Amino acid sequence: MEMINTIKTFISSVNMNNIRAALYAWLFNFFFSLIAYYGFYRVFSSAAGDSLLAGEAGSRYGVFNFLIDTFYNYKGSLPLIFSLLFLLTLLFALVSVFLAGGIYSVLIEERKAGFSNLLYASAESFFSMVKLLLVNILNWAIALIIPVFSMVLFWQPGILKVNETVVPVFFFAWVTVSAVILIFSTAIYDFSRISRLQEDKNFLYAFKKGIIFTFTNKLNVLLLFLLYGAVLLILFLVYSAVSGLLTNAADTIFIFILFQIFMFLRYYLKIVLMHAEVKIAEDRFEEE
Amino acid sequence: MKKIKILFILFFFFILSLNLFLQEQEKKEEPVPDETNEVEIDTSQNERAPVVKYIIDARLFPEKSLLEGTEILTWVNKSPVPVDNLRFHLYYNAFSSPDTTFFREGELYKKTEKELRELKFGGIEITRIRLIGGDELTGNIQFVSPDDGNAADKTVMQVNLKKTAAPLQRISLEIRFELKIPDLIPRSRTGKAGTYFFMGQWFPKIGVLRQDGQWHCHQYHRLSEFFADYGDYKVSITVPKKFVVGASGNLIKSEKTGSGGVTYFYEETNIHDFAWTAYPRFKKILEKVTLAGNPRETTIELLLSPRHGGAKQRYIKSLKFALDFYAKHIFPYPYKKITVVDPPLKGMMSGGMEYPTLITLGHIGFLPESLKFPEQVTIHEFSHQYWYGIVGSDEFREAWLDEGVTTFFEMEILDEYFKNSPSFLDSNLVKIDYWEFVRLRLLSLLPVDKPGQYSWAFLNSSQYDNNVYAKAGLLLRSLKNHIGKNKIYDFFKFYAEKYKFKHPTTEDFIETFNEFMDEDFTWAFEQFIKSETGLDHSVYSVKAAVVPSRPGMFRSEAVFLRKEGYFPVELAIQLENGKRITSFWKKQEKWKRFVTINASPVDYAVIDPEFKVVLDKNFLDNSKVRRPGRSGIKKLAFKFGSFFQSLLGFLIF
Ligand SMILES: [Zn+2]
Repeated sequence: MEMINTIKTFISSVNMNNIRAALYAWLFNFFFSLIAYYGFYRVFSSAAGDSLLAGEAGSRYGVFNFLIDTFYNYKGSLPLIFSLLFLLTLLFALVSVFLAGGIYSVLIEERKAGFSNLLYASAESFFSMVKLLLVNILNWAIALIIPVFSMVLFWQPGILKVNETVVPVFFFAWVTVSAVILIFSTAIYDFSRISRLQEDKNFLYAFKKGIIFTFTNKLNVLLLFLLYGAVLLILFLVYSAVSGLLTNAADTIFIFILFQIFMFLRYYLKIVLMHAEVKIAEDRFEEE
Repeated sequence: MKKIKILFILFFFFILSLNLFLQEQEKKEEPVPDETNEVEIDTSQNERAPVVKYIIDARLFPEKSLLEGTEILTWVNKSPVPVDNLRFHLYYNAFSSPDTTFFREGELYKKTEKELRELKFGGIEITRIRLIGGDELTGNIQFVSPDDGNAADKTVMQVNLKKTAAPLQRISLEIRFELKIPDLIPRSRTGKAGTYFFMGQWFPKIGVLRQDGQWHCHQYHRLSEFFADYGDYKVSITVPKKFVVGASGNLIKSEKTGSGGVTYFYEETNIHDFAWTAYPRFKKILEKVTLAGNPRETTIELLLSPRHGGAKQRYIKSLKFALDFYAKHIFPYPYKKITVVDPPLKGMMSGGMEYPTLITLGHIGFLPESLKFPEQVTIHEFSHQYWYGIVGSDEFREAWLDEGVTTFFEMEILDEYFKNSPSFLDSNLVKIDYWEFVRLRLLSLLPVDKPGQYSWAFLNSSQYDNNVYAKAGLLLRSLKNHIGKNKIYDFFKFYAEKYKFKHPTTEDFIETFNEFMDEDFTWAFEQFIKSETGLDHSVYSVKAAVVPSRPGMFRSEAVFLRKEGYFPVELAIQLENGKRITSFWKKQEKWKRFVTINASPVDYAVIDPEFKVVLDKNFLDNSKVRRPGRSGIKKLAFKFGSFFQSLLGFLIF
């Protein structure tokens, strides 16, 4: 019964208000990514901008050859952009904390997800969200122990001494276990943030609440995330199929637009998940 | 608990039977029959006889990691000079201490003392050497290190004769030896891993006496491979019954020893080395093929390791393809059998090697279908049967002659084998052809070594690989594109016929090449084999302007550069009205200005438009467009940009 309710909650979170929130998140993601698009374009232009290959980079000469020529003959250009993107990634991690705080606040308070509301809520919740992020480092550290150590132990004695059948079995098991651990550690983080915003107690309380809530609602949490994962997978398959049809160089702009729609839908889906989390938390926080 | 009891009983019986087996082995020691000492010189017979004839009896004691051997070697002095000593390769001594040349040259083995202590060393000991029916020579053994003077290296043994061996004199020796078999380590190529044994370079092998009476007998270096005279081999191998054995040559018979052992008798003529393997878990698969131009069937003997079922067809199919390719373009494989050893993962360090009529491959049970490694290594190692096995080039001094030529044929055969799909990596993310992968190695080359130099004289192993395999292979591919595929295949057919069971040198290769092509190609080998020179073509500028005196006419100009190296190359100027003006730039000059007056201005200029000279380090600067369109790099930037955006998307909060 409870499981059906979870599914219902997930479905009922698909609404118009969340579209606005998704738009808000997507815009930031897009803005950060523009630097990557432009950076790669600059690198390839400096390597082969007035070459014939600029017009047919991948088609005749092969993408692999194009890349190795760029890497070996224009040394520094690719490493430079990769280090830039690395910094950008770190920065965006912080920005996403900012964004999520605003979105959770608006969802909890059931306000209209207008741009200014979101921005204001993001700013207001930012410091407490950062504190929760820091506390949750503990959560992730613990979550990482099993995947990292099992991997290290597995490779330690030298893969050469390992029975060959064990390797694929190990990887399958490793991926499954890591995925489950990832789901629970994400849920702990999410619910601790919801608790912090909803109950307005200190962050340690919220962290504890997140842990307790996640483990008392294990199956529902798992179901919710699997639901999210399944829809995401379908979305990805549809996108790959459609973009696979557009292989012409002239279609670049269409693929670009299609990809942005795909990215937007990914954010939308994530916010649907967040909304469902908020609703479940509302129903059950008091029960405990 | 029950299980442990059973195990204990089994173990007890095992020890018991092992004891009986070893006792039996001791009893078996039979004297080698004395032959007459051939002092009188039967020149006519010895002139035709092969330089070496080996009769070897080997007994493996797997639990003790030991091998006992008796070798009867008949050797003919084919030089015009009398010799007073013989030199032998004792390759197994390369693994006898951390101070051998093999270990000193190994970047990998500059290990901590603790790590060195844990290494299992091996070695070979000559317990007796004598002339059959003549002098005892055991006391005349000394070790020499002709390459580096390393006194700790005992991989070359010199035996001083009491009487000199005159030209065309035949000498028969009896050599008794004991091998301590080490664990397989990187580049050792031989040794054991658990119950898997791969025995290469395991017997005392006589060096090659050159025409000037000097011994060509190098030490065991980490990077160099091997060189020896052609001869006849008769080898008997005794192992415990449970072992499956594969070896160079043909299995003549097998006999039970009566003590739980089996002796396998192998023979082959016209080979210059002999390797074998023993492993209880091999599955032996036999297939017969008929090759064009060979009335006799050829047998493929595949020794497959457990859990490698997925590779079986990949090995056999690609091997058959290579056999057919060579039968069609060179000549049919002349031996009766090719043995294919697929080592288990733990024995991987013996994989990817060539021996006469035997090759070792490599596979891991979980290797994805998209990676074409099994096919690639099969085709590479089989190609060595021609370029090393049949055409016996010198792997010590001129490794490019076998590795470079082999890499060339490997690319050719893989191109044909994977006609419509990538021949190295066929994944969604990136598709790579094998020749592109070879070119990647060319790009990372430092200009400090030459492909034609001694193989142990390279800066490091990647310099060795990138020169000897990649640069030499891509030179031959560039020459193929320049001369034409059929003509170059015909050359290799001619070259292989001419040097079948002989030892050609780089000079022989170049001479034969020039002779066959009826054109002087010395420039190619001088630059790209005998020197560090690389190659880079580029277009410096492209311009167009109206011609004031002739309305409606444009003066177009392009400047082409040879930034590095020389190779004859095609030039093209494309006009905006679609007209193309081409030219072939053969003259040895560093730059060329190309001017044309036409009704349409130039659109672009390109040097080597068909990507023929694959030695080129950079194809991006091989063309210039006057008004460039960038849809290609936009697409590429999109591909990478969206990958990054997608990654950021995973950082969703
Ligand atoms: Zn090779």
